[in-house]
Amino acid sequence: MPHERQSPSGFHGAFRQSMSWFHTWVGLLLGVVLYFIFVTGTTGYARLEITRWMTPELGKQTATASAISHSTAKMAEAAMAYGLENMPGSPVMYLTFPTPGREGTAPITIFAEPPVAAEGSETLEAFEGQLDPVTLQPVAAAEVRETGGGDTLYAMHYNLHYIPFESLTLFGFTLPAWPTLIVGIATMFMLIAIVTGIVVHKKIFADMFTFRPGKGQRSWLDAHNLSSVLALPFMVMITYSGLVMYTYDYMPTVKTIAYGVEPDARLVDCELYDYGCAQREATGETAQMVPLAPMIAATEARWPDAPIKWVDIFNAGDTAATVDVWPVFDGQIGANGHLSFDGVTGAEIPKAATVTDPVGATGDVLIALHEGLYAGPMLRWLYLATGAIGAAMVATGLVLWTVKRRQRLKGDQKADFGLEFVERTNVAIIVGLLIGIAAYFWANRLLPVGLEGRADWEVNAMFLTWGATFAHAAIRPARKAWTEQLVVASVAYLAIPVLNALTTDIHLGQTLFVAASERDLVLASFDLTMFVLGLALALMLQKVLRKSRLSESLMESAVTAKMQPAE
Amino acid sequence: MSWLLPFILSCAGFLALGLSQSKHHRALVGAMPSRIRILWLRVFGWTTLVVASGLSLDAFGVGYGLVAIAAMMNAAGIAVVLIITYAPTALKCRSSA
Repeated sequence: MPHERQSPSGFHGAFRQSMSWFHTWVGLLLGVVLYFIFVTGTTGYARLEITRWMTPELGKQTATASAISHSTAKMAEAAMAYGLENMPGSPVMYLTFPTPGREGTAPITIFAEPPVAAEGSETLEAFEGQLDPVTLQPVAAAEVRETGGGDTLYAMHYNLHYIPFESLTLFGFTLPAWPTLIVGIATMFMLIAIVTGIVVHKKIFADMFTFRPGKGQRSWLDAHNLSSVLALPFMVMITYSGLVMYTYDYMPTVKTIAYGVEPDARLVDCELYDYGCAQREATGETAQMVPLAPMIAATEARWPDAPIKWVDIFNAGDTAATVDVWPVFDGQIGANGHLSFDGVTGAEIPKAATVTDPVGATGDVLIALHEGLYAGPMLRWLYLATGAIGAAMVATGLVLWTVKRRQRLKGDQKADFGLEFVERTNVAIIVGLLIGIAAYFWANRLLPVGLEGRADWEVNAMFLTWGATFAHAAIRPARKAWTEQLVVASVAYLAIPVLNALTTDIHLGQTLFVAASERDLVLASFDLTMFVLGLALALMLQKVLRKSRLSESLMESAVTAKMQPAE
Repeated sequence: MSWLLPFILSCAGFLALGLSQSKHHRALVGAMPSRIRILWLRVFGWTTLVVASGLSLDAFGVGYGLVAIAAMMNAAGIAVVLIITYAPTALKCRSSA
């Protein structure tokens, strides 16, 4: 037990106590980063669904509309033509197709990098376009609101959004970019916190199912233990795989030894990430591209159960054009693969024989487990729930730190600045972040559709709101801050279905309470999940209120010396 | 169905393992468990968890099945904690009413 004073007797006592000390302080110092990572990262398991909700103009996806009427081949053809028309001579063009079921009628997206500028002229901006998957016509920017959607929200857990992706060079060593570095340090300490947490938790099996509510510090410790022990496999997996994902950033020497200080980026991409191996130097001579349909058919034949998700075209319209076709492997953890083709002859470019690489394969599996892209709807719900438990683990740990110290105060001894400070910031971290995310969704519905830099303002709304909760917690007594922020948070989430109904036509009245064939359960579950989250926050509010009423009545009864049982 | 049965079995298995601890047994059943009962609860609990894992692996394949059963056991663990924590008070309330 980490939070009971014990005299260190012998090696084990001393060892456990130093682990306890480490666990407590690492947890406190990195709590805010870890909580932010857990909460925003968890939303990633529903990021396509969140994006759908945040682009209401795309409408419902009903059973009748779900069959996208065009084959991938036709979509790819139209997308390539559209990209070529807008960015001739693009060295690399990425086409992405909506996944049936999850994204519904989300547009086909085209991203084309600009050609290298001739000397003295400015580099063009990359071309980003969207095609309607049903009509294959360009989607005008004005039709669909500009939003960061689920992608921006979940990406915060590794890019920290505002922190520039720049790196520092010290004594000739280039450090990982700032966000990668900060998240990496937090993740490594998280791993240490898991291990030290197991060491200091003496009764893992005896307390496996034990929760003793209403007992102050005891209850918080139980909750902290339960959330970490029951979800331990997930916690270890998500933390360790998060580090594996950035192996070459955190252990750059490995890469430097193999590829030198200034590596050939293409070679690294190909050998480490299996990306763009088939691409060739552009010749500058134009050539007619062959149709993509046979390439897509060949890929579909190779992996019959894996729908085509991405097509990468290198040097489109050049005699050296190559095409990579990537399917998405649902239900297969760590499976990936693609076929490469010559863009002018249409012939398949065989992959260079690669050695079987168990380490690489293990890494692929770990990364797949982290991202959960392979997971079906049921497993993704469980991923969401487990991620929420991870957030709860960090939150209960943060609260525990303060409860333990508050309990140690004697009589009318006043809390010191450190305790006051953590008590207040805890409110703004734990509840405030949730209010901020609610503000992100509210901003999506309330900001004018044509607003310049709209997607940025959605994020600004989130962080301005989160900042405001810190200001609020600073000026209110901690207990009042808890109740007031919980009121705001629960109302903000409970009202999301209402807000949605007032501002769009993809509300529950259209997505759930209609004939079965007209339902869209993906959109409906977003509204319902927000509502349930609001209910959960209201439940927390009720507990906090009852607790403060209880302590008030205890104080009163102590004064009148009449002990009355609290109801 | 491929989700329901392993999940229910995980809940049953964890509940049995929870009941095999005297403190939870006393709170839920009202009496200390006998040695024989503790043994049976443990055997039943572990067997059920193994069967649940087998069903999951069988339904989803080894890789997906392992992840699925881990996730289900996690959810089942939470469910059992809630049962063990709140069932005694709920039962007491009803019997006193």
